Order: sequence, then C-alpha cells, then structure tokens
Amino acid sequence: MRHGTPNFNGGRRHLLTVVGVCLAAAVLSQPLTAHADGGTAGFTIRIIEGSKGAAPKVDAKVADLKRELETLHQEFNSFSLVASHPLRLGVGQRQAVKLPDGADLAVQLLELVAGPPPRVRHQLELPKSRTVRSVAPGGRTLDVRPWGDKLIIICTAVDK
Amino acid sequence: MSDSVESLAIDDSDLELVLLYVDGELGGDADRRQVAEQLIAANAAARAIADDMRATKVAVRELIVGEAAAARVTADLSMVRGRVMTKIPPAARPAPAPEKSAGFDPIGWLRALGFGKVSVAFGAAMVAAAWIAVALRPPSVDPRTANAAAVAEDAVIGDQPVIIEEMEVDGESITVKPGVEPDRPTVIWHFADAKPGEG
Repeated sequence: MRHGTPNFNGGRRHLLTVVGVCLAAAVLSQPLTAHADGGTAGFTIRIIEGSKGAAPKVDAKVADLKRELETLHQEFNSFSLVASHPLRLGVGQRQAVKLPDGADLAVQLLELVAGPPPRVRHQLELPKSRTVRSVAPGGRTLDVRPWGDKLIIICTAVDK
Repeated sequence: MSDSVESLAIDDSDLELVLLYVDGELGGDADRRQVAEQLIAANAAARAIADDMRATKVAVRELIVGEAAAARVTADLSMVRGRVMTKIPPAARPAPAPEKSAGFDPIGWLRALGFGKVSVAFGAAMVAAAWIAVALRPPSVDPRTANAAAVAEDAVIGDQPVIIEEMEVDGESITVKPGVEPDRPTVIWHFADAKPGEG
C-alpha cells in the first residue's frame, strides 16, 4: 500500500495547515487587551451632598475635591460626605449603591485594558443615563446631579 | 512673573485669590482685587481657571433653576415626551409655535426640529465620539493653560486619566468637563432636559 502513503501525508499536511491557520486566526483575533478572567479592579465611590449653607463648609473627607467643589461656590457652599463605598469587582460584575434621592447607581466592570497606561473600562448607570468610561488607575470622575435645591455629587475613583 | 512670557502655572494661594475674585468676595479689598485682576491678566492658567469658573457658574445657575422648576411641574415629563416622540414621525410633527420660545433654549430648539429621545442619545454619542477624536490629537500647548474645552482638544489619550467612550441618555443632557490638570477629576453634569412650559 505504498501508494497510500503520499495521500496520508497530503491529508496530514492539509490538516496541519488548517490547524495552523485556525491557531493563527485565534491568536490574531485576540484583542490587544487583557481580559484577565478573574481580574478585579477596585473602586471607591463617594456620595457627596451639596447644599446652600449659611457659611461655606467642605467636609474634610472630600478636601481633595475642594477645587472642583469651589467652582460651585455661591450656588452651593456646603459639601458633606454622605457615604463611601469601596467596591472590588470582577470583570462582568455589577454592583449597585443607593443615592440619597432613593435612586440607584450601578457600576459594572467591563474590562481591564493593558496599558500603557492600563485602564479600567467600566459602565456607570444612573436613572436616566449610562456611560462607559475608560479610566486609568487613580483617575476620578464626578457625576453631578441636581436634586431639588441640592446637588448629589458622585465621585467614582479607580483604585491605583 | 515675567511681563513678556505668560506663566503657565498657578500656586494654591494665587488659585484661592482667583476663586475669591470670581466669587466677588474681594469687594471690600481693593488691593487684593487689583492683585487678582493683574494675575488673571498676566497668567494664562489663572485666566483659564477664572473663565472656566465663570462659565460653570452661569451654566449651573441657568440649568439648576430650570431643573428645580421642572421638578415642580412634573417629575418625569421628559421621559414621557421621549417615548412619545419616538412614535411620531418627524414629518407629522407640527411646526413650533414661535411665541413659546422665550430666549434661546438649545434643547427645546432641537426638539422643535424633531429631535427626540433617540436623537438626543445619538447626539450625545456623537459628542462623545468627537471628544474622543479630539482627545486623540497630539498636544500643541500645555493643557493647564487652556480652558476646559481646549484641554479636551489638546490632551493626548495617554495623558487623559478619564475617557468617556459611550453615552446613552434618556431625558437628560450630559455635559463633560475634563479635569483642568491630569490629577483632577473629570466632571460630568447630568441635567434633566425638561423645562417648565414645554410640551
């Protein structure tokens, strides 16, 4: 059966070619990001209430945001930390926290993106909006929502 | 500080002086007021912060008054209108009544042109896309010297600690104000679209 050998070799070559192409396609189709199954990211969510007080007052716990809060001076001059929520989420995990007005704020970790700089892609859901953010470790966002004659300020910080 | 070359940085005491000046809290202190005015005139960073603060204060004043008043009229008017408008073909919508437009209201104006919930979301997405696009441009000046909008234009993506990739809004407007310095937070304002007297 010598004449069968070349066919077997040809078949094996084809098989190896197909396997190689599949492997190459699989490698090339990987996004340039680290999905890191099981990877986690830490967030610190601070809920701040802004109001109009008799005298300006900025809670010492939000002193790092004083410069941003001061731009609201005259309209709102009193800022106090209502709650602080440290969260650690895995990729795909979602967690909700309650806002002072009764609404829910939800954070979902979408992806850990390899750098440089590394970024934490996450989705932040508020009652009327959904935003996807890509934030470097240490980066912060302030979501400001009017609440009657007050403000609700949500500081979402991605842990370093 | 040199007279010929504008300073690109501002220290904390100067910053406080600028903030107090813009807040109008130096009314009784002519000397400090004069120092603040000179600082704003000579220092681009001080000027950018003062301009930014003035713009924010105006926006906050106008939009929060509208928000508070709208909340008294109806709690969720914009959501209802958003759903309704998606069901009405733009061609069938009546022409806007000119007497209703007291002052320029960009959201009301867009709605009068047939933009509704979907369009507002699309517009927000376009704004976000445009912002990301300009953020990808290489920097031409120190971001600290520019106002908030220019900071977005002049930042590189690698230096931006925060990138807003997508937005989906329903019945509210979102205004993104990138941090004036790399370590400052990006501020995202959420304003309800509904204004008293609309609809």
